[in-house]
Amino acid sequence: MDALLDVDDLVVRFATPNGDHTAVRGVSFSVAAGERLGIVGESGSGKSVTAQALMRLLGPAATVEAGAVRFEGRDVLGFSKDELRRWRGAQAAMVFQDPLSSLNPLVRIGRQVTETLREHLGTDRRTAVARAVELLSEVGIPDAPARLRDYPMTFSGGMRQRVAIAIAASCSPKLLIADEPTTALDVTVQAQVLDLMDRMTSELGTAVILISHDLGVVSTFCDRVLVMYAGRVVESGTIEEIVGAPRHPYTRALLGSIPSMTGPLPRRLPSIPGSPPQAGTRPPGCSFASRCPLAEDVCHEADPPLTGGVACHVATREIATRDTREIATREENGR
Amino acid sequence: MNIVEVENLRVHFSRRRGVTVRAVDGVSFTIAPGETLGLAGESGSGKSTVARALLRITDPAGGRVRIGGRDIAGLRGASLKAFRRQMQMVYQDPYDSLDPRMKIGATVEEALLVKGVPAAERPGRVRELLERVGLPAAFAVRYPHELSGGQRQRVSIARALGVDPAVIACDEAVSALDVSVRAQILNLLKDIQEDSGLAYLFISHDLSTMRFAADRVAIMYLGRLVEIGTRDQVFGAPRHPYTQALLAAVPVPGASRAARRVRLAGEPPSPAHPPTGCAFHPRCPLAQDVCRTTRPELAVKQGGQLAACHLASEPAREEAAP
Amino acid sequence: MTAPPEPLEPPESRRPADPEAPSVRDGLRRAGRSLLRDLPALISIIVLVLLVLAALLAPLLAPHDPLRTYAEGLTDRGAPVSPGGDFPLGTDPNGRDVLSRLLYGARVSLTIGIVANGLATIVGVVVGVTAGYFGGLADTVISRITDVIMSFPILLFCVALISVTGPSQRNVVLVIALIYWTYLARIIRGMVLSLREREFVTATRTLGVGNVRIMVRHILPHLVPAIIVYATLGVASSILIESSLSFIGVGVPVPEASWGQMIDDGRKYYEVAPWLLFAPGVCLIVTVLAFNLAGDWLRDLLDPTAPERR
Repeated sequence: MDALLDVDDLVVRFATPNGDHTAVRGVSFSVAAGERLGIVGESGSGKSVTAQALMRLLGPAATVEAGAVRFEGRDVLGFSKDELRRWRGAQAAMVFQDPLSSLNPLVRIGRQVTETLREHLGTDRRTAVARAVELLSEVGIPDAPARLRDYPMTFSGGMRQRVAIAIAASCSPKLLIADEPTTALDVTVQAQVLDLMDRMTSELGTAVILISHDLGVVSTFCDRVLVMYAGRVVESGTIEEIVGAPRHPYTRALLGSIPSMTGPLPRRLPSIPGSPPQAGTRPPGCSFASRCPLAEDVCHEADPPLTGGVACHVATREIATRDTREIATREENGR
Repeated sequence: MNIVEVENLRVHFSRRRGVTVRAVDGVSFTIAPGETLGLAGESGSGKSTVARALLRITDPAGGRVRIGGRDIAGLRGASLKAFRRQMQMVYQDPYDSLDPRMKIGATVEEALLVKGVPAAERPGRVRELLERVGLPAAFAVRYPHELSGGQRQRVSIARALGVDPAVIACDEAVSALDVSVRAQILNLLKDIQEDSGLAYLFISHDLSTMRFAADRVAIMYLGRLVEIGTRDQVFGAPRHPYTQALLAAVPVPGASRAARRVRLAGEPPSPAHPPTGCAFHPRCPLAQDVCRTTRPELAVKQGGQLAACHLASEPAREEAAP
Repeated sequence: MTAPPEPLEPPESRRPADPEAPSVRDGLRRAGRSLLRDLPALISIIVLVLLVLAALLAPLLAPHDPLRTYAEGLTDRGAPVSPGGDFPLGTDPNGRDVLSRLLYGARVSLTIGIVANGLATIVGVVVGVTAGYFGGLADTVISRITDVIMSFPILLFCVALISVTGPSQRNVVLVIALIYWTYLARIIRGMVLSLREREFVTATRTLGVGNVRIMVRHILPHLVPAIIVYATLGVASSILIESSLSFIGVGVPVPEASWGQMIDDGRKYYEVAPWLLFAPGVCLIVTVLAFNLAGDWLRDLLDPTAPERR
């Protein structure tokens, strides 16, 4: 099956007063139509920058240094301003962490919902208003016709996020990028919003890229996960693989440091020493080596490539040994 | 004897047009030395306001708060300053809780100054405090912006420890940190508690963190406690429907899509216009007529914890006997 | 299970930690280094130093008596003499030497600019911080006072005050200060209102630190950038107000020279004797610019979070 979105070796560099730094270092992945991909990472992992690069939302300080982003085979990075305007919102939409910053505080909700419809679909005013009421009701805004005249300020955080999802879904986009859409919400509201995204995207067949720091949220929403660390993908796989049998030491440690909700608790939580590397300081070799309990000499020298879904010298070798052993056993049994 | 005793605490805020918001509406609990009481709830539940009232950042409208056996209401001037040494707070935002224009050393030293440590001893004590929270003494000459979020929270803890308090309130102290760093700070807080017998009031909306950090847990909804009990009681067999919904909503790594079920519709109502009867009734899947009219009080329920719900079952007779 | 020692986080700072606490000498060295990297600031500081020297040494530097009318300072037709020769910057319609008046005028203008503004800044900061920090009644009273002062037309207010107290350099300074403190107080009060709610201030208060120390150690340092910007802008406005007052005749009493007065004189003779306008005008612009650029530099120097310029 052809991929809807194909990202190939994306590199994003930022210019800062303290010199340049590379926020995304060679990220590749693809998303099939209707698929749900999670991107998990901590602060500074480059997960949000990746999303912004995909949507061409990077500010002037950032440049895409290399790589390609193809949407249905078309080169997104080469889009003209006009093509971009037609593409964004209609084919690919985005939902942000804080809907207050993506909704214009001075424009009534109704106008913000109808705007997208009229812009992309050329809907006339009356139909657009009717559709807006329909959309808002679908996302669970009570008394939608009356609320069209309200400003974003008068909505609660959860309600604002519902409106943002309604706007994103209004043109039935093929791709939805959601950057920490539930992080600012209470846990009971978070479940509602995830449910809503579930419903809207499965009805429309929309592919979703869900970006989150929370493995739990990703776990209950996505099919496949990329784990990012210091601007690179360190592990990728299905959600069952990543959560059930993580191979990269970082993924393992990350899962280990979340206290479980059932069963006995350790006296101390297993923790990863140090903190994620910030912009600008990146030693040679594997970025995780300085915090890694398994690090060997080679880890400090060479950055491991992503092979077989994991970017780790040690894990790759373990797999290789196990495979040879398996082959050996199989041969033995066969004899 | 308990180090913190809170009885029927009420905090009101006046809004425009004479509307009074009962942010905290009759909350009672105690904390023993060396114990961690967790206070969980959604935004607007009033959990942070409880901590702010205990520290006298906000003045309570009523009720009694005793810290170290002393009633803190009406303390002024020197006696207020003296009380403040008893209870400290570690704040949520590691980027705003340290003065960005003051070096780390000076920030920690200020606590020693308040405590009356002679100037000559202070640099040595600053070094000790920094090392106690796992920071190299050389960090004393750095500014907060040169530190990571986790390091800044360590400085906040060092500053709090500087006045030798008996209680520390941690108001979402690890919520803003990366998952991998959060575990370090939680471990540090436990280590300090084991060394010094500090009591913590641990406030968080994150229930998995709460389960690890707290010995006893109180759940707040719209300014009132709806359930309070030991960690195992509350997490193992929650009695209040709100607690049950809250726990069910926590997304756990490994949980499948099917496991995510919306138990609760809607959002918490505004504390300015609380519902009649049980404040939770408009969202409660079990609500009955009595819930709409009569406010349930905290009472012992099956399992031993207290819950404020008309429908939660009473303890079996043999359980209630002792 | 034995507890592993809490691991240290690796330092992330690009700036190496200084093992010694910085002394005043280190501060000066840092100031020097940053000046060498910042050419406009360096020039501004040099200009300001030269200006102050010129003002102080005016009696030695001035070629003529600034107040005296020279017979040779007027042409046969009674017009002012063009620059050059005995009068490097020409003379004014009264036959007085422009260069000498400019040097003596620098004394008056700088004194008024710096002293009036210094007074206004001190009063404005103290009042603004007090009002903003304590709020309540103090804030209400102070806010109403500033409202009243700010609602008067500035010039009318000055004229009224000076007509009571009599024109003199001292009174001009006091009147300007009396008006300007309100503007700064307003700005500072607003900033303190938001600073007061910041978590680090709350944290310091709950530590048991006293109000005075919080205001001096935790609030004031955050106001320094704004104070510097407004104070340097204020120097310029003060010099300009003085010139307006002198124009109406309630400023520095004639025949004493001030730049503002000279500019106003110069305007009238702009077509026949343009140097009368240009000489004090250029001085004023250069001074104001130098104050502002030096102010920007000082603000950056005092901000620990600003990246060091390369």
